[in-house]
Amino acid sequence: MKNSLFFRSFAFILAGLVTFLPVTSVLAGPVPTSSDNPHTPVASDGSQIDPHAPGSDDIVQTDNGAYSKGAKGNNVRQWERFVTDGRKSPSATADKPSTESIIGSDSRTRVKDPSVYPYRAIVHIESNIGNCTGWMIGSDTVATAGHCVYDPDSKKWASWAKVYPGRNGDEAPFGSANAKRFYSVTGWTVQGNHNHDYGAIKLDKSVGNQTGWFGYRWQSGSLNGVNENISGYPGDKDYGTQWEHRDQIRETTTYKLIYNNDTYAGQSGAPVYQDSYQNCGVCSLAIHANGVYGGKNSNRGTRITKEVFHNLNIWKNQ
Amino acid sequence: MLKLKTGFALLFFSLCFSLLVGCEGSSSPDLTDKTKVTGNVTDTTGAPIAQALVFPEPAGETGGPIPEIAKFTDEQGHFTWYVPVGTYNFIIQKQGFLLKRVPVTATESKKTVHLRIILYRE
Repeated sequence: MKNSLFFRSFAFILAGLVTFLPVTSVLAGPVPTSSDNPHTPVASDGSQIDPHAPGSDDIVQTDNGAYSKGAKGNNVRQWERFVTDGRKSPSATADKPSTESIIGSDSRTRVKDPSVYPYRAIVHIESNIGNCTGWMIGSDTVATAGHCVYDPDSKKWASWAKVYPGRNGDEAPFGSANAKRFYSVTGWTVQGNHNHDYGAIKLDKSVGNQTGWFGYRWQSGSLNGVNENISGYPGDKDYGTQWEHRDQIRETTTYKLIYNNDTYAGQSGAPVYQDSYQNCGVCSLAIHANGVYGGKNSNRGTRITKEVFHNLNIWKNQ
Repeated sequence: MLKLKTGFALLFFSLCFSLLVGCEGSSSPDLTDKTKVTGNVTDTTGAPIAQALVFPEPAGETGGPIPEIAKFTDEQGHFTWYVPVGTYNFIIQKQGFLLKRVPVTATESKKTVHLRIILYRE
């Protein structure tokens, strides 16, 4: 009798939950529509975004994903030399900054000649929000982290940005270019959700024809064990110098790739890339975004999913 | 039968817990939960230090995520960061000065924190 009462009570509560669940879902908020899609692209000047992606020559479908081909550019130099306010390494301890994003000892090495491909397709970004890294994905488009173009805390886009491809301290072998528009998605600009922390910069000149650009790809399933490199412009080293460190993907989640490459503030937006993948060439898998946190001793980047891939293609084609 | 009942009870509470917690992948952070951390960086004479790199490093198992963007102090030695609830070490570094770490705890009730930071020359 007691058992029967127990099971009847259990069944009653379970039935209540099943009945009540759809009601709570409705009360919790409206059913998502296309405008609630966190990957909805937005532009800093409010301009309409043409949803037309590049032609099939640029995009190759694979069994479990797709890639957009990279290009090496014509390597025509346009030197700019300047004084960086005498800014050198910001601390005497910069060579061993025992900070969280440096996992164990600092294994980053300086890129000796960032004017060679693919390093020349990596850009140092200066803006009123802060300094970041980005990477060319087309002749006039730079991919980077969402927080490098839009600050959800102040709810403002960057008001200006200048990029220096292949910068090497006081030298910019391909000159510089100014941002004329920024892009991100509502998942970042409205929700501030780190799962959707990615964006792009449209430049006022086609410097990518000289520097070339990265390929990038998405694939379903795990990327664990894939060898990758991160190269960018950390703020703890001599100003405007490029540093890299190789590792492999340690964990694949829906929105993030997790790895143990050493990074530092200023490397946000850097490509997490393979040296070679099929005809993609130098091929990016993620956009570096965060250092160590939450008790996990690893760094993380926004994974190029099918949706991110699509938006990068759209921005490249604007 | 006791084991069966225990099993059902565990299943039931697991279901309730899952409903309460929700799905991690679909959650988005509430920006209003963040603490605004401002600060002024000076040398020992009180002169502001511009272009000092300021970065909040999550400490322990709480805090973050923090974007890996390089933010520098302005001409007045001023900086602003917004950080989620948790504990941090704010790292301030500038060439010619000793690196400094300043612990900061951000809580739901503490909406603003102001730091006065003095850097010592090497």
